[in-house]
Amino acid sequence: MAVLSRIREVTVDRRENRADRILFGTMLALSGFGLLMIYSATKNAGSYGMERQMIFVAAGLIIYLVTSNIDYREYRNIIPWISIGVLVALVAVFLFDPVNAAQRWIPLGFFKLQPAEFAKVGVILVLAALLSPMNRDQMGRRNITWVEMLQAVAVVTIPGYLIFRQPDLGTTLVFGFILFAMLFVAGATWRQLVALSSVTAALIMTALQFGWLKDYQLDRLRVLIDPTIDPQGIGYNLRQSKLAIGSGQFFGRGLFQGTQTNFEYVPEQETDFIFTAVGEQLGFVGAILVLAAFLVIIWRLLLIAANARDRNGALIATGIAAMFVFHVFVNVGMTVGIMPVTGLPLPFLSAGGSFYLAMTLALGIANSVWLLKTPVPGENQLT
Amino acid sequence: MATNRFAKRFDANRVRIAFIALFLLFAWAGMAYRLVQVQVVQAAALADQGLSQRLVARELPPQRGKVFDRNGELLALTVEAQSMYAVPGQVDEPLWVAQQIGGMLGVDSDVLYERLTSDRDFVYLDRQIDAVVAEEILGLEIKGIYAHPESTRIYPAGQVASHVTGFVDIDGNGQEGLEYVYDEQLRGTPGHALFERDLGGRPIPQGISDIVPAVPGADLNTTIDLPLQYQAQQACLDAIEKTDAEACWVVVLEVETGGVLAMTGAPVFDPESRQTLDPACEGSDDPNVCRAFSNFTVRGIYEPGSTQKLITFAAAIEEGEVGVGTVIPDVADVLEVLDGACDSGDSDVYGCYHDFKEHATEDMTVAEIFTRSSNVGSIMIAERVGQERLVSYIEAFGLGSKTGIDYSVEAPGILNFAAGCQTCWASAAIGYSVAATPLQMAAAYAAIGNDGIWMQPHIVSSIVDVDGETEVSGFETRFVVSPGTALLMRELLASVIEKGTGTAAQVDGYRVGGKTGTANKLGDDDRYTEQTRASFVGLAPIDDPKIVVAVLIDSPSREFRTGGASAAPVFAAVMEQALHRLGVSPDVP
Repeated sequence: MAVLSRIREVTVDRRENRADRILFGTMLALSGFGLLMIYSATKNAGSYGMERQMIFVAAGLIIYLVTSNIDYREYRNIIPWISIGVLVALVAVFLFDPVNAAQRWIPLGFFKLQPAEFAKVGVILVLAALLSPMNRDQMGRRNITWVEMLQAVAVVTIPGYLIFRQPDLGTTLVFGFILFAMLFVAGATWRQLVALSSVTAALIMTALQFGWLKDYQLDRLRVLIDPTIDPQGIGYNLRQSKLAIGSGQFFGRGLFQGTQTNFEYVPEQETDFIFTAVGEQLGFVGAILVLAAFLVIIWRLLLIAANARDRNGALIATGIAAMFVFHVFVNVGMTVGIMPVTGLPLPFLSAGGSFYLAMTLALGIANSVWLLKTPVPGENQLT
Repeated sequence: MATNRFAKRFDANRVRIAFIALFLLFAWAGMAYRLVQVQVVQAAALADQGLSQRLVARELPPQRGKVFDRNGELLALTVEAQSMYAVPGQVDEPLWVAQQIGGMLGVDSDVLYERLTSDRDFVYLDRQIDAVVAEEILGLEIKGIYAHPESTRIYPAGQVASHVTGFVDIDGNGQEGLEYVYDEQLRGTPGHALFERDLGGRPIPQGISDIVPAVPGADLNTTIDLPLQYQAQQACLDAIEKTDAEACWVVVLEVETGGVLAMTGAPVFDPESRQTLDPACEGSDDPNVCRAFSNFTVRGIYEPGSTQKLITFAAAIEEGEVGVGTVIPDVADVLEVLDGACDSGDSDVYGCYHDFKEHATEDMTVAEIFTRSSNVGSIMIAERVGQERLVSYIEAFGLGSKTGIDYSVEAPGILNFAAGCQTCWASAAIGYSVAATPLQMAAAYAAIGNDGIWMQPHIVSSIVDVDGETEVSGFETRFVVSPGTALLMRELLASVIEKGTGTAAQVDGYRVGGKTGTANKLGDDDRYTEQTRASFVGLAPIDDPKIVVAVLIDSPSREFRTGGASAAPVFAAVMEQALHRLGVSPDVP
């Protein structure tokens, strides 16, 4: 009985609000579309990419439904456990043999868990909790203290550094962007933000100066500045992805007619470069529609943030929105040559288990914030 | 609305969320702008670049034509093989790899190691190897080792027909023999394929493809009889062993057509590996030094010696200077054409001629002179003909000019009648001072067999291309002597075998005619040596000749130094086979 009543306690009371159907619908549409793109991009390679991804989509929908119905405020009670879980998982990857010179995964037999993807959601929850007032006195406070800001930086830096060492620079940068966005919405002063930016910029300069970045990471920056260098080597990915997207022209070459993406000229065409499959087969029209769909998702997330019942919910939704913005912009930007090539996948479209599940987890939590935006009469609004 | 209450509280946050929304719109506008650039503005150019990257033009090599003998047996054909190559940069452990596959390829592992460690991007390990071996090696899944299909030329008859077919180089270009002469016809016309391929090089099904198929090369039907070719070569190999000769060559012609039935000899070579065991070939491709790669019967020349007398006698009879029974008085065993030549004792001074055997001075009939092969008598007959007419007959019989046979580069031979040469006519009458190919001699004898009509020898009888079979025609024919003279000459040739120097050339069941030849070889210092070139040329059946066989044995041991001793038995063996192969009925009970 205790268990049942506990479940009832954490379950969202749906009497007042309806689930965000636009968010859910868009996510569903993108996921289905993603399966089609994965199929088209891999069918000639004889890959089983789509079948595998279907399993993740099914699992992701379950995660979405479950987390939608969990009161997001409950996470606040288990912040230490979330923190420990994230850190343990991020350290654990170093126990396993490198794959392609990177240690990002925990092999679980049927599936390779990539903790960094879930760590994004975990860090968002921890940051939101840290930056939200806990009592009535602080309820109306619109600023954050320097101490809070430093704590927030620490919360991001520790997992960010571990991920940087995997190495996965792209995901580390996601953490930075999420931190900025959440601090910004949490009410950091301009002075605080400038200070943080300056320190970050200095850190980047130092990293470049002391060679903390690997050669291939620097090459990717060089290629962005001059795409013509070494088209068969470091410029290969960018050149091929631009050729593919450009070949699509306005209306695309037609489904399954994408000879660049479907025939392996574009590397990682079903994961990081899935957007090239969209661009080549469905053209400008298809590419813009996909961008529009992401715009809808992020717009809904910002709407959830703006309408959250408390600052915790608002910050969670903000963090998730920031995560989506960064992923989509960097991924799409990479394929068209305005962002360096980083291994950031495109939400719902790129093949990959951990990432897909982490994205549904994030939207489920956001939906929970939406479902609870109106306080139920008599409820303690500050817990 | 309840939210309004909270809205007030989170005013600042809402403004900042709006900021983020603004940032979002900017970012999205940036991407959209970039997409317009890539997918609208630069789209056509990028699509072109993509297409040119996928498009690949390949030449489709045509299948090289086959070569058949007169019975449809394959002498040469082209089959698919595999060529192994390596990308040295990709090979991790070259030493291990070299040892691993060296034995399978039959290539020395040190050589392989050198290739595997070269700084080139592409090295052949071995070309045109058996597909099974290639598959075995690929099955080892060694990084950096690949194979691509490449056709290879196969000669089923191997060394037996190699002097006819010649051979191709590793890239399939004809180098010798029929492969060289008919290279253009055999080669065919390459086709072209333009298609889109994926990164692995496989054609993209829905891509552009434009294919013009290759036109295969024409097949050649030849007049060669492979079993006879084999027997002839075997006879030569046996003769070399028996007589310790340097080389042996045989030409068999069909009298009525000039078609080559067999053309072979020894030393032999393998047309596939292009390898020979003849030590003379090291560092020399002169056909008079290195005999192995070329066909001496067409490309080599020798002084024919007594076999030449056929022409001398035919000229004299045709010109009415002598008859078969004409008595030539006082034929000695030595004749001085140039005053004092016989007394000089210097072999450098020409003009003193001896008969092969000493004999008393006697009156001899023309027939006796021919049968006994008297040099002195022959020169006395030639004297009646005179140099001018003699030379015209020699030329009419085809010496001194190419026969026009369809085999690579042919030697024209040498007619040495320098102005002021007082002895040349006499030398020429008995087969010195002229040099001919064995084929020229065979063709000259064939003219006698063919009632005085010389026929151009040839190997290919018809060419079969995509448009059908075309008979090869338009061979040169030439009137040389009258049928009556030819008939008389055949009788003389028959008597040589019945009672003269060529008794070893007899063939059971057939009346055969022929002439022996024994010519001293010129040494490196242009002096005649004790070494000889022993030859025999003859016809059968002599009453209605079908076949002519010419045999040349180079430098037999002393015991076998004459044409009668070494070449005549080879002639008999080959002639017998040839008569049987052509189904000629025996004419002697």
